[in-house]
Amino acid sequence: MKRMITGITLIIMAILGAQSVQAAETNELQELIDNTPEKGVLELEAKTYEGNVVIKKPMTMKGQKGTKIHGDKKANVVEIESDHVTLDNMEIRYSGMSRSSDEEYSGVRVMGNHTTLKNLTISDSYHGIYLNRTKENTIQGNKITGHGTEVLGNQGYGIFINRAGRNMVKDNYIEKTRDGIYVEYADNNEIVNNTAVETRYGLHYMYSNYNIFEGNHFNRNVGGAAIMHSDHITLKDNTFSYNQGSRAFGLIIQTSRDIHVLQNEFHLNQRGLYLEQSTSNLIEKNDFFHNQIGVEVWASATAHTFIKNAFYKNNTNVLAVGGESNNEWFKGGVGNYWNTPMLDLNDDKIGDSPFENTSSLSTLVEENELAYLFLDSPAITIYEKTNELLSNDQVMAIDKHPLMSKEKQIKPIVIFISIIIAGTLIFLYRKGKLPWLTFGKKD
Amino acid sequence: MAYIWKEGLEQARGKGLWLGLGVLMLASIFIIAEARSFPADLGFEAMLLSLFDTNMYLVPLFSLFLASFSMFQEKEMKTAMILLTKKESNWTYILKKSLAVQIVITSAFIGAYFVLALFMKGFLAFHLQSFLHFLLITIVFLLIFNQIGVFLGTVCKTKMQLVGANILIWFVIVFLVDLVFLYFLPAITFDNLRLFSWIYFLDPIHTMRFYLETKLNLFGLSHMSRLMEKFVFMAPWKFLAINAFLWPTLFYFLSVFIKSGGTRQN
Repeated sequence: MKRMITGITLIIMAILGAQSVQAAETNELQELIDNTPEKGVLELEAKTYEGNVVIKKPMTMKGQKGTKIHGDKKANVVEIESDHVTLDNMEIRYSGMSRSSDEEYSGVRVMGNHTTLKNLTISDSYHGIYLNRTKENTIQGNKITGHGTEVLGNQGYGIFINRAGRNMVKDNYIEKTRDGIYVEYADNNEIVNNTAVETRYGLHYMYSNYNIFEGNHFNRNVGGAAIMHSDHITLKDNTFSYNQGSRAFGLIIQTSRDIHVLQNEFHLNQRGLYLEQSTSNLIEKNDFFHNQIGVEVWASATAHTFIKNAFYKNNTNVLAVGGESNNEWFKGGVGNYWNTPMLDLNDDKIGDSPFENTSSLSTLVEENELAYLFLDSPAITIYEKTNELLSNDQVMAIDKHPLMSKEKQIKPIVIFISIIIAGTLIFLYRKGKLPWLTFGKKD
Repeated sequence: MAYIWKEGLEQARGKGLWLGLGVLMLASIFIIAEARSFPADLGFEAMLLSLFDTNMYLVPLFSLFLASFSMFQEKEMKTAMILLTKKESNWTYILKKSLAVQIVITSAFIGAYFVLALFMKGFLAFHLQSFLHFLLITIVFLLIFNQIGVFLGTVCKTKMQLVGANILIWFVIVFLVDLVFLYFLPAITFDNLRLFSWIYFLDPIHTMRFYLETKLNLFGLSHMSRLMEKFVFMAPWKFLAINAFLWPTLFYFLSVFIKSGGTRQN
């Protein structure tokens, strides 16, 4: 009898306990979500709601200025398990940050299709937005902030697209996360007009094919974008600038093929474009300006075609490291702009003689990483000239049809400054303040 | 104070200082104009780094010539002899002269950069903190090369000797040292890296550029390889402080100990 009473008591306590846990887990926002009809719109007030919440039906959750959802730092703040869910205009913070949990948590985890996430501000989360095994979602106009480069290992990605296809990622601003946008086993995504700053890689593709990547901006990252083990990708009209550091690059293409790098700008990077173990990529109409190394090609990168690219004021335009490889620097009678004076007697806008880009730095760079420290040194010019005289230099690129440099128009500001300076000098000279300008005239 | 006043008047009356400042400002204005085409994000910082790269050639040259000729003139005009026989010891004379040279030349160059700051503000997104880092570097630059100039002016006996010494020192520091580094680079391994690092960072031009790059966010110290982490074993500002103290002090004492007996006519 005693046993029976004890058993019944335990069962009742267990039921009551479960109910109380359930009650604790239910919060105001979850109740609001649960009470919203399917395909309904839940308009949130300008206040802070407690997370975490799960959305299991098609609906729209709309915030306003001051709407915040704060997680309990133990799980995903907002988990979307249904198709056709929209989140708009709210701030989301405090997901779980544990790396030893069953899953990597995020500000918003999307597992349904046709989800729209727009105008969200996400911070203090492991991943910002995590698309997992889903498709045809739109991620637009969100701002995601990580914890900074000092703690990269303890945090995740701004936007993590994992085994998710046909998504549109547009107009997002991501800073200080591990990688800005990380795409893994995800095909046919469009990544347009996003900005990633102060991350490890602004964009990181792994095993993802047939993606379009257009109009994005990558500044001050360790690497602007990394395309690895991914094929058939178009990168167009992106800017890669100020990606500086001993191992930094604007764009790395590694173990990938059929990548079309079109009309991008590579400005002031340690290396503009870095090619390794990849093949059959087309590098076309890009602008390489003021980089330490414009293009660094390792011998394992083969059958690349470079046409109509412009190289201006890079310390080294092209560095072929590790030996010769069969990359083409012209195609169909069209090469690249090298910003080097050359003859064009028949006025066909193609240089009359082939352009040979030579350098003796490749061996140094190959042997010792510290060589990068000297690429800005005034001594580099002498080093290159000396090796040229001693025939120690190597051919980095041969362009049989170099394009004539575009005539650069003199900017009005330069004309204005020149006139001011010349005028001042003439005035001073005529006033007799600069008698030493006349040779032989004594004071 | 009398030394500073005298130095100021002499430098202002001479042509060298104005020529130096003029060339520096002219070159800088064109760099500022060019920087307008840089991407806006860090365009100002990239311009400051370009300016430093130009300074790498110009500042040592002008600084060496101005300081060394100022020192040499004291011997040539016999003012040094008068001062030394009346009231100054060799130590105090060189110290006071060095201070005067440092203050006058550094003030003149810093003044020029404040004028240039107006152009920078007009044409670019001006960031005060970055500009102040640049000014700090310029002051350290001048501090070191002025003192080398004082040393050369003290030890050289003829003007021809002095001109030759100035150009030689300029060439060695700006070009030759790095050429030597480049030829020894293949011999650098992980084991002897610390020694290499010390030698590298005791070159003030290396340290100044590295400090500027890191402070202007144009070179990240995160995600470095093991080699680079061992190479940068100390914060760049510490290397800068060591250079700013070591070289002027060393050349001051060298000036005192390797004094010349006077001048010889060419």
